[in-house]
Amino acid sequence: MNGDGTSDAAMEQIRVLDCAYFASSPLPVEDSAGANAPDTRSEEDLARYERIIGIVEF
Amino acid sequence: MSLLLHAAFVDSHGWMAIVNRRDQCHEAASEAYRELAKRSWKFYTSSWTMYDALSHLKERAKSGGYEAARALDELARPPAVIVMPVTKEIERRAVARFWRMPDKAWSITSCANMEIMQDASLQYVLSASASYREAGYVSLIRLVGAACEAAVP
Repeated sequence: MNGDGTSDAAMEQIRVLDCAYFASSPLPVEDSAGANAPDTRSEEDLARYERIIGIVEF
Repeated sequence: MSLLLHAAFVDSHGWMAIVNRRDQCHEAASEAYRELAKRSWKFYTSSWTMYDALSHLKERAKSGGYEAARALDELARPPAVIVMPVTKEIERRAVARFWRMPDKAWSITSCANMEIMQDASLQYVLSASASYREAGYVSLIRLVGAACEAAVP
């Protein structure tokens, strides 16, 4: 058992994903430095977001 | 640390509702997502959630899911979307939360997302899953009977 009461078996069961692919994602270190002030998005930026809307149907 | 007011966490249900035209919450999720993008809100998600969404899409390769997964993967990079890695510490806390709440049908992934939202001071979530509301977060889309509605502040 782990310190929080979780069994080793349970811990092992969820260790199936390797997050290395996303490891370069930045931490939100800007949170205390004005993250609540939105920056401005260009039409190109908005088009990127728009691209995935309704892209598939099943 | 103060709560982030212009940021939302998108869970796998949220991503699927945005991309899939036949999803019950597609209209509501798209409306919320589009509005938040226009308002320059920051979008957060977790690595586990993104893997989940990509996997669901790829399973539907014959229906265009592979291309959809590629498109979502391309979007899921800073600054468009901040993908938070599920660290060993987050994983440990998520599993602890999972077992600590025997009366809640929260998945371990949802628990990990809650831990990340807590650490990042996020209060809004783009998902119709009841789990987040039960945990005190604010859902930007809500199931009302058979209908799904956007609830953007």
